[in-house]
Amino acid sequence: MSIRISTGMIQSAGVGSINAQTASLLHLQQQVSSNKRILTPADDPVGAARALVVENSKNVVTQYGTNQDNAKSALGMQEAQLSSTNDLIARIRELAVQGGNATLSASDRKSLAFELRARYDELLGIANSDDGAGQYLFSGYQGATRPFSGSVDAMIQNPAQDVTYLGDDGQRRLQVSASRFMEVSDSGNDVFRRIRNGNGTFTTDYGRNGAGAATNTGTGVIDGGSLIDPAKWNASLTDPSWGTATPNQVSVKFWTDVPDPTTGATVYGTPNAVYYDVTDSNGNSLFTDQPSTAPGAPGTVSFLSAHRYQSGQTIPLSGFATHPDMGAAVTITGDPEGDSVQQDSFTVSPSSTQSIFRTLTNLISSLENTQSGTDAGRATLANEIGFALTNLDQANNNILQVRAGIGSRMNEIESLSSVNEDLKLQYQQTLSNILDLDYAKTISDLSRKQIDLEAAQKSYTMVAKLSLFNYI
Amino acid sequence: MSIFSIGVGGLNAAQSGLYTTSHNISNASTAGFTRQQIVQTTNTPMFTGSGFIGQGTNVQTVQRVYNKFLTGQVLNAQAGASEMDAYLTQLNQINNLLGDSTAGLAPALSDFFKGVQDVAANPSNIPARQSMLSMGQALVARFQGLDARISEIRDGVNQQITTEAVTINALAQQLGNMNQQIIAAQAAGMGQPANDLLDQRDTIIANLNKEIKVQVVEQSDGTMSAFIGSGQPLVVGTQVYSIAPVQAQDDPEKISLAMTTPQGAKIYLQDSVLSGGTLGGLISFRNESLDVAENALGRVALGLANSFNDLHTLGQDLNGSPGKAFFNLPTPEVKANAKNVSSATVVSAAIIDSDYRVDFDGANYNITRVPANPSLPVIPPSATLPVVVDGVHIQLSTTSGAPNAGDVFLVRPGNPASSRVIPESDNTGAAVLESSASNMQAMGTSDYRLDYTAAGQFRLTRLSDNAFWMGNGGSEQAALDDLATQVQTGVSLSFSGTAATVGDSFLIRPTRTAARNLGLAISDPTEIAAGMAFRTSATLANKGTAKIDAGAVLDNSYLPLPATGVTLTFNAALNQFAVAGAAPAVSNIAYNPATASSTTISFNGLSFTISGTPKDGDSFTLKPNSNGVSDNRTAQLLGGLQVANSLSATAYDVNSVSSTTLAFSSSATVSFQGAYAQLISSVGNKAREVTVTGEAQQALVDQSENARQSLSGVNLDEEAANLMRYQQAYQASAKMLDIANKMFDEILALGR
Repeated sequence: MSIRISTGMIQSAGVGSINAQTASLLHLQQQVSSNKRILTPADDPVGAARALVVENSKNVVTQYGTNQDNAKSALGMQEAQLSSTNDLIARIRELAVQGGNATLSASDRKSLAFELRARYDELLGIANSDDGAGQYLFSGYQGATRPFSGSVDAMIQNPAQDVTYLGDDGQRRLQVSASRFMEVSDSGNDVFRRIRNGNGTFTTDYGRNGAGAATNTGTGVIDGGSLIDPAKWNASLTDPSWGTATPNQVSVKFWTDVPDPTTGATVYGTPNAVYYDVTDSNGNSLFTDQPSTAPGAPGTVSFLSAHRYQSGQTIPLSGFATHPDMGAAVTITGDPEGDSVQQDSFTVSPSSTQSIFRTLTNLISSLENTQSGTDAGRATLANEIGFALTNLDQANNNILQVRAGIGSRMNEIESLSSVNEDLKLQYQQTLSNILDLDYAKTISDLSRKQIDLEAAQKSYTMVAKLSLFNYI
Repeated sequence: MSIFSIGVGGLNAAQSGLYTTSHNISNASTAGFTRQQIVQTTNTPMFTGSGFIGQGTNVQTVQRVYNKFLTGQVLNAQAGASEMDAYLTQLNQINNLLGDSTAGLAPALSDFFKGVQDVAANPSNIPARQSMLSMGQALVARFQGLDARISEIRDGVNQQITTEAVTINALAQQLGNMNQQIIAAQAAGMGQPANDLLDQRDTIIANLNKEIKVQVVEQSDGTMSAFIGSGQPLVVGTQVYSIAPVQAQDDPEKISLAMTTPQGAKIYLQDSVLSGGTLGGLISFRNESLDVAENALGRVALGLANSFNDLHTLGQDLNGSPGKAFFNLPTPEVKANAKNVSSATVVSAAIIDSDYRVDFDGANYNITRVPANPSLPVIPPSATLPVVVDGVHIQLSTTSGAPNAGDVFLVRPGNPASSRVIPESDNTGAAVLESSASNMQAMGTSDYRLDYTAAGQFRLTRLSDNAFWMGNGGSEQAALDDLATQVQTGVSLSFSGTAATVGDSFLIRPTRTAARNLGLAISDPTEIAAGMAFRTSATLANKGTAKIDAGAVLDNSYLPLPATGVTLTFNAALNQFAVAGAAPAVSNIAYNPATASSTTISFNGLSFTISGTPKDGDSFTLKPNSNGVSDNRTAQLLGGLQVANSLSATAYDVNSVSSTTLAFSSSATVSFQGAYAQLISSVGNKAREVTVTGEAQQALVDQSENARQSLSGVNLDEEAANLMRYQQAYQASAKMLDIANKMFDEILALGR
């Protein structure tokens, strides 16, 4: 059974197929000329949505890259300043060692102190440095506030006062990767002020009166002390061995066994030998639990013959009757002395914090003001220089620690940066896969479609020409 | 009867055939033409002694080669194809608009967040802040531009519907006239079919069908009646009804259609009734794609503004003041139906997206909004949980114990489920609270209809899938509150004005106008809140190794802190921190450094972490962050919104919470870019679907048209053959007359 074909059907079928081919050809041509596989979301809805999300991720990763650059430059600026500080401290150390030379005169020391004052101003300048855009580096969250102020003279006049810090503990952070918020600043407190004094656990000092002046008459010089057993030290802090008075400290006292001028007799047998005692803050000897008493004074004697002192000797803070071993020891050189009325003493107290400015001021003050004409005065100066060197080392270490932190962060940025670049590349590739045209395939499709279109046109022309009317 | 008459009959028949064939040939390209054929019959034979002698032929009628069934098929297919065409044309406008990689929303969002990150990198830098404001304005402009374009498309659709109505009316009128003519012609022609008029009427019906799907019924008097939709008459015989464009009753911005009866009454035609044809395509497009697209765009705008504002108001700006709202938050739309009895009956909707402070005083849970909102009614204390507040459900977890007096919880529904409830660190009880997701997270893209079905009863219908809920209560507001315990739509409804009448209806559109009404609320760069209102520090003299982190603000009800700050001092013997200076007061907070390496402490809306081992007497301070111009904590959090999951994933996902099960699904699973990508994907998918369906429909049209053409179309070759045939028949009949003439001459010659 044959199907009847009307003339209209021939025409509409032919034109219809030509139209369809033309439409496909046009679509391909648009793809080729814009190099986009997805001209509208309808071409590939899932791909279009995914491309959007990947584009967003790429933007986010690019932003992380910018943040990483910002972080690197902020950290770099800080590192430069801290490096200068380390150099500065090295120079100050040199000057301190020079100042400890016993052959210098008072005016020589004064000129050393003069240079140290200039160094103080330099240090203040570093602490108040900014990033060139008006933001102070070391003031925490208060970038518009100048953090440090305070003159040497004011601090010399008031030993309890530290440099004034108007900033805070805030650290700025930048997001350098999806899960890493990196600190890009350190507060002035952390860098310049939160420094432990002494050896980090305890600090030593020579005996002072209420006004802070030295009371020792001998020539003893104490070192920074050494921590032997941290556990014992920690345990002893809660033991009443420290006493109840403030300041909270333990003292080492000395007494010289001077032969009686009349009889020539000594208490313990060795003329002019020196013996020591260890007392708490109330003045009670830790060996006897009674007030510290030198032989010849009323009370239980606590300067025992077993505790003979030789110069350079390490005095352990242990061997007490009822108190635990403190797990620490101090070394004293020189010739401390004492009698039944007044004994040279040295103190040991738990470390607190001391800013580098205070350390420097103490050094300047002792160089300018210590009377070096007497033996005792020279011993005091030697002690002060010793303390200054110890504290300068602490400050230096603190800054080195901060620099190490900065260094490791900059390292981290390097590796994050390369991961970032990889990620960006990956995203770009994914985007390219989704959006970009496969030129080779599309152009070959294009030429094939051209042929299809030509074939449709030619065949229509042929068929349309056929008509019975040609033969009538 | 003689040969002459037979011959003449034959000539006439051949002539009619030739006329008809020529008519066919000349109308071969006429649209809708059905080829015609003559129907010849033999004349009544004469009875003679030798049998019946035939008396020649006559043409009984000229008939169309027409199959009503095939024509009906074409009409059906064409209505579908026209609908898909119209839908696709409109849909492509949105398709191209949204997906454009430079003109779409995505680049504006990226640029805005880049501006935020620049401020995070340089919080005190005024040009960076100004740039962020400019990017924010550009983003708002982009939202508004996209919405304006969608509104343009909507206006275009409205206009086209109006034009369609005019076209349909004109065609209906033509149909009525044609019916009239056919009756007249067929009456005058004594029952002969008026073929060409019938063809013309078919064409009119086909054109009408392209505009709107019609069902045609042939009446006994030869007229064709046309019915649209679910049976509404458009033309009945010669009676023509008209349709008119009217403002829809539920939404004055929408143009819908109404039918005018001859008596003058107006019958509103529901959208569901108008299907098929260009008109059906326009209406489906508007309801399914355009409205949803505008809602989805609005949801992104609303979600972004809300999340951004939430974080921004917890921060501190360059002047040291608390952050203001960054964006102007658009409000949801409620439209009262035009049929409502009183225009003073008002239902209003608001999006309440707030945090809550739950304070157990020993007897009651006192719940306050954080930050306080004086324009909203106070939340009454509740002796037990669960309780529904502004649509958010707060309850005790299944493993929870009992709270002690003084226990305080901060409920933040906008956060992921694991951090929605933050108990204060000095709580002593064993209660564990849970909360459902926030209203913003529960927001979908559907509109809602609220009907007052009986006294004290509202029915809420979700228009995307027609799910509905009934709310009952003693008053209208009580019924609305009952609805709020059953389903979390994202908006809080409140009733005011004169009492509702049964039958009143309201259309609720939570996000329709959000993209249009989005705005930037600040213009001064110093008012961008990049920092936070407090900072932490460890006392310099501390002997232990404990550190305190920078901390964060959870709610700002108790800010600013007193100038002397809040101090936490560690008591090593009791392993706890004593807190001094906090208002309201905070009691001791336990921390045992031997068993834990850190602890996160929160109270009075602040949260921070202390890690490491403090020694006895070590202290930490929280102080107001005065002059903290380099603080970028809030800016960092704002930058995190670019990738944070803030909205629910599926367009119609709604936390439907039944009062018996109280299921708390965590619903925020896409970011703003993700939600926008979903919109593009769904529009693209729809365009693809409509294209493919349209192509399929067109194939159906072509097929059925071919079937019709196969029967009714003119084939020129066939007509050429017919020409030859009728020509021969004419010649043969003419010859017949010639011979009859010769025969008569013979008879005449006999008499000579």
